[in-house]
Amino acid sequence: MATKPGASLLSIELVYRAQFARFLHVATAITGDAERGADAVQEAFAKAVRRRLDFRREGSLEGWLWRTVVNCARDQVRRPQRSSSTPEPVVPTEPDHDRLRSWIAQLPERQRLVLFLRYYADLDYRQIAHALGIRTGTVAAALNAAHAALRPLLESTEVPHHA
Amino acid sequence: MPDARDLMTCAVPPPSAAEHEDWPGVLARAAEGRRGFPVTMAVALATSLAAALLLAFGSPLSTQSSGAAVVAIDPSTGRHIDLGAASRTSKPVILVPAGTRTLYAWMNGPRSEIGDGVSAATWHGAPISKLLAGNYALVVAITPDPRLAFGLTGPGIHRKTRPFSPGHGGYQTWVLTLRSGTYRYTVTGLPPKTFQVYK
Repeated sequence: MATKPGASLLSIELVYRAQFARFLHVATAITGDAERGADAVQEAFAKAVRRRLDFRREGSLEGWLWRTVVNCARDQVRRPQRSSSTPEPVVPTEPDHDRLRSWIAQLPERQRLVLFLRYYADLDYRQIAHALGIRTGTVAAALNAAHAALRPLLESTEVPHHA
Repeated sequence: MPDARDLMTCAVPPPSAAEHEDWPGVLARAAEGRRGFPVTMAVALATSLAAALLLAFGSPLSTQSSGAAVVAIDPSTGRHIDLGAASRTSKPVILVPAGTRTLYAWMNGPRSEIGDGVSAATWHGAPISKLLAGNYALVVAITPDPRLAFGLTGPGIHRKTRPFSPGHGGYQTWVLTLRSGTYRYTVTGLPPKTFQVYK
């Protein structure tokens, strides 16, 4: 029996409710601001709801939603910020955090996205590949390159442990 | 030496999800971009379900994968399914508060029953005649005929289903507190049936 394309509203809602924190974390990392990150997640899921019948089930629903969220967050970055809103830093300004963020910001976009999806979303290589529309081997190469770029930081940084 | 994960968490700590999570907001935004999208009912359903859960349990919806306040049910079998698996399927799933007894109502053809699906192999379980008072999630399978509605009345309850909408997957879920007394249920045009609730 042929599988019916499309995703149900309830299955999208389930992913949203179960994984909102991870979507928000990645979108915040991409946009650099929690408010803009939240807006990107809301926009992405609204798009997914509107286009849920276009979901072809070629991969997982989760992967399709990750791709939508990443694209919306990237669109947010390209969009000029409203002058009235002052962007708030994600964390209190501390020299180490600033240094970390500026270092990560200097990485090529693909390496940054792979890092975010690997460490903030806990996705495996296959899921990252699906979310970014690239091959699994490319994910591995990008992650390797990002790790190599971060190595000097790892060797010189004292990182407080989070509970 | 920290590992890459420590470093990344330090660079962007996780923001507060509770402040930003807003599923009705997603549905409203989806409706803005699509003419004729039947979202009003979905917003109302989501809002009323969340409100009912708040009233019943005093805490907001939480769907952490462990210790979940919400569980997913496959309406075709009445069985609980893993939240992760539910999120990957395009089949309809139903969310109910964990620990709540689940009842099912169907209104196909001349039959209309409320069945207790807990002990039945399928959700077309045995019709109920007696129940203990308490919290229940009643899952109603909606018939596509817009002229037909399922209604339940009794102590503290007077509910009727909204017309069928594909967006709901053909099901509506009510979270109910049943008190002792007689409850009547019916489908438009059919004679009502009753069940008793005891303390």
